[in-house]
Amino acid sequence: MRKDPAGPRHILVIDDSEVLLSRIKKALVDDGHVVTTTTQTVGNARHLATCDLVIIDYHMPGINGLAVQQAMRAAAAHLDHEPLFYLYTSDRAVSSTYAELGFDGAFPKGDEAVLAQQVRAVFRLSQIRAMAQKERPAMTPSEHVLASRDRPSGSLSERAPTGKPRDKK
Amino acid sequence: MSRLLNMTSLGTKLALATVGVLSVISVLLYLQLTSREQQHLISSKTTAAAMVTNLFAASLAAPLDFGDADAMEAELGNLRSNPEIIQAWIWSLGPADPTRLHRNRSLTEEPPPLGLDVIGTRLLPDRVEVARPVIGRSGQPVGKVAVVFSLAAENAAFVANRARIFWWTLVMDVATAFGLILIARLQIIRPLAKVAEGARRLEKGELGARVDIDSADEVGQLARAFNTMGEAIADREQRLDAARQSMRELFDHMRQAIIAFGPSGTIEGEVSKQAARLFGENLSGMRVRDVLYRGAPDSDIDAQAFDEWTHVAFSVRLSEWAEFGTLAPSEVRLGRPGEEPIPLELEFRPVTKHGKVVRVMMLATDVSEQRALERTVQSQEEAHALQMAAMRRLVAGGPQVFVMFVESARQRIARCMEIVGPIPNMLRSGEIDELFRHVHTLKGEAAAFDLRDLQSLSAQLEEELDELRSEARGEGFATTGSVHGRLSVHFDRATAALERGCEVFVAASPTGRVALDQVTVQRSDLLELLTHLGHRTDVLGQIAARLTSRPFGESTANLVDVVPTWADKEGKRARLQVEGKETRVPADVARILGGALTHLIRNSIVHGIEIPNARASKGKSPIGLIRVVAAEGQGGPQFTIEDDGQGLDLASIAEQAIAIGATVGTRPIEQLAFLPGLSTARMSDLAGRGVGLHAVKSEMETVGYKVDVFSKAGEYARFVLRPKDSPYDGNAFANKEARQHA
Repeated sequence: MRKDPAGPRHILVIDDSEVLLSRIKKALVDDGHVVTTTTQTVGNARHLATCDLVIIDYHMPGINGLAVQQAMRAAAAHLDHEPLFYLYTSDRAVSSTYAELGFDGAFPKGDEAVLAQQVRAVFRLSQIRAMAQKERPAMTPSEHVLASRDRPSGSLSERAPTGKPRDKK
Repeated sequence: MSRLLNMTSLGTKLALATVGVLSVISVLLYLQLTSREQQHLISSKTTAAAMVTNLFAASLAAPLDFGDADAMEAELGNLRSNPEIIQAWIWSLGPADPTRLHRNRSLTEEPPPLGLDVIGTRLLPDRVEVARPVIGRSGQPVGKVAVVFSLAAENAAFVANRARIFWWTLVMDVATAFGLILIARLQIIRPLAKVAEGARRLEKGELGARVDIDSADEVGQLARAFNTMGEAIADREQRLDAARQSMRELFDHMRQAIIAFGPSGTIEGEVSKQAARLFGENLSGMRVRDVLYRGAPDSDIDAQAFDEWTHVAFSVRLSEWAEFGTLAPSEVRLGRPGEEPIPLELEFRPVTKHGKVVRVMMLATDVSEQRALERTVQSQEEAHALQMAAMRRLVAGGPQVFVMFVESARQRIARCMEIVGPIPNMLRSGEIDELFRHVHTLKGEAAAFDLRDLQSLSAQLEEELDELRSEARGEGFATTGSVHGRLSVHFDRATAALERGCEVFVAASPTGRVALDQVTVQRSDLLELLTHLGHRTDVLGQIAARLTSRPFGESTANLVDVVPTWADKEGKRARLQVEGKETRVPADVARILGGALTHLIRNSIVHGIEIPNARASKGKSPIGLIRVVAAEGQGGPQFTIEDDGQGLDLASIAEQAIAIGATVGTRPIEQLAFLPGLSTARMSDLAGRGVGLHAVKSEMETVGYKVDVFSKAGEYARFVLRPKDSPYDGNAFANKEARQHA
């Protein structure tokens, strides 16, 4: 299995289950990432500066993931490098509305191997977009037209990896 | 114009050119012929006019000389009979009438055409004027004549001839054009049409298309060149077909499923059989994303990443493709309805043209079996790790601890089964509590020795007993009816799990099954006991000897691991096989046996086992086998150390023995190997000092043992260590071997 060519990424996982966190951590660490796990829903802003991806469980006892995400996104707003926020839920109805909830995407809960694969895809996608942006000057005007016709609206930098415009707050 | 010409057939163009050229030629010819005809007519007329005028001038010489006007008139009258003469003039140069002019008035009234001073011929369109001097008797000019001849007849003849020339030229022109066009059609156009038709048939794929033209001209050469080209194309097509077929077969026999897609992300061209098997038939035109991520929602991040990757893949510079390729998915789980997803490893390669990526080739490898194997290996490794952990705990606590656990666990299970009974019955609270205690202890001890199965079964038993205990809480008893069957099964399984744990221990123990019979005693106590008993041979002495004896496996425990390393140092490969690990070795023999075995085994590696190539050339396994066998014998255990190498080099031993000054005598040469200082090997870490065998023999003799050696060139060398008074039991070794084979 190919590791992320950009090197290890820092991932923060917030979940109420220690067991689940340990399984997720093992899967992601085996995949070459640096993983921080926590059951705490407060005080996580200190990780944001070095964090590339935040995975938040949506349904946690006493508090919901949305509130955690909103608080962390507000804390990350002043950072140069804003991490991606991904929803982690088995609720399909919730996962289909991740954009409305302010998340950049959603991971299905359950299989840690699938999660690791999808995390790889998230980082790949961000690199592909960075590379596409770098390639742009090399494209002819007609290629630009063709490219823009095939892609969803919004510039690459403005869009979250899922292709929807990122909600800058 | 040029477009019109391009659209016109070669035949038409040739015909038009022929007609054009011929028309020009005909016009020129016509003009030339008519001109010549005219010149011919006029020239004849001029000649005739000159002759007539000359005669006329001659005939007037006398009349002019004599001034005879009548004669002159008569001569003029003669001219009147000539209808072609229009005018005739006579000038006299005499003194009396130097310019008298006699004019043939009947001919014309026009003024004289030429002056007196002009002599010659003048040609006009409708007439010819000729002037000649009249020479008198004195040879001097006496006058001059001028005659004007009409060209009407010649002009009329010319007009008639011109029409005739025109028609003849036209007929010739048409005939020539027809002839030339016919020739061009037959010799050029038709053969060229045949070549063109052949080319069209060839183009349509009719590789046998040939042109049948026999001529030796350029068109024939063209036809032959075409036929040669057709044959070359057919040959090349056949080769290409064969190559394509080979490629196809290779393509289809490759382990990878291969498909290619273009900038639109749709599959183009051929797909391999493996691809059809994995992704289905009729893939052409399908989006590769839909093939890989079948049924994935739009929000599927993997599918989305792949989508964007394919968008960018065709605009990335070739120099950056290697880096960009790493951003493609390396693995995908291909979902199939109602079946396990297939893990596929993916590779993407650019297909370039003129420095640009025009297609991307995807190679997908089904790694289901590999993953299954990895899972199996992983589970085996985990099981092995568990065993190792168990062994570490056993070693840490001492084998006796495990033996004690096994003993107590067996007793606990037996007690539990006794309480539960063979049939459902009523159990008192105290009995249930006792069961619970046994099972709980069993669970804890199993956990301590990493016996997971036993631990898990104990936990299940606990749950079952917990239910019984709840039932008994009120009335002080409970019936096992509902759980009796499950309890019995679980206890049976617990017994089996305990036995499996024992097997793991026995397999890992260097002393084998005897490890389970060991008890912990102080060595000093045993030695003291032996001292007190002396060399007694009665039952008490035998028991004491048995108590102090050590299992043979102890002497070989470390050798199994080091033999391959020793062999490797010598550039050889070898393994050690130990038999009779449980054989009891008297304490004094056990004390020196390890060293003796080390010498003999190193000796086998250096002198006996051949290098792998030499063994292979003899039909032997490249890995040499050294067997160490212990067997009970008369007067004590016998030990045999045998290798399947080249046997003893008797000639070299004898030579070395003589070299060190030994007396060979009638002793078997094999026995010379034990002479001190004798060695046939170069000195190395393992041998060559001439110490090993002599040391073994000397050491073993201190405990009443002798060492024999047997050898067969190219097959084996065998050392036997046996009590001095005990006969060599060759059968014991052979029987052991036979038993092992059996």
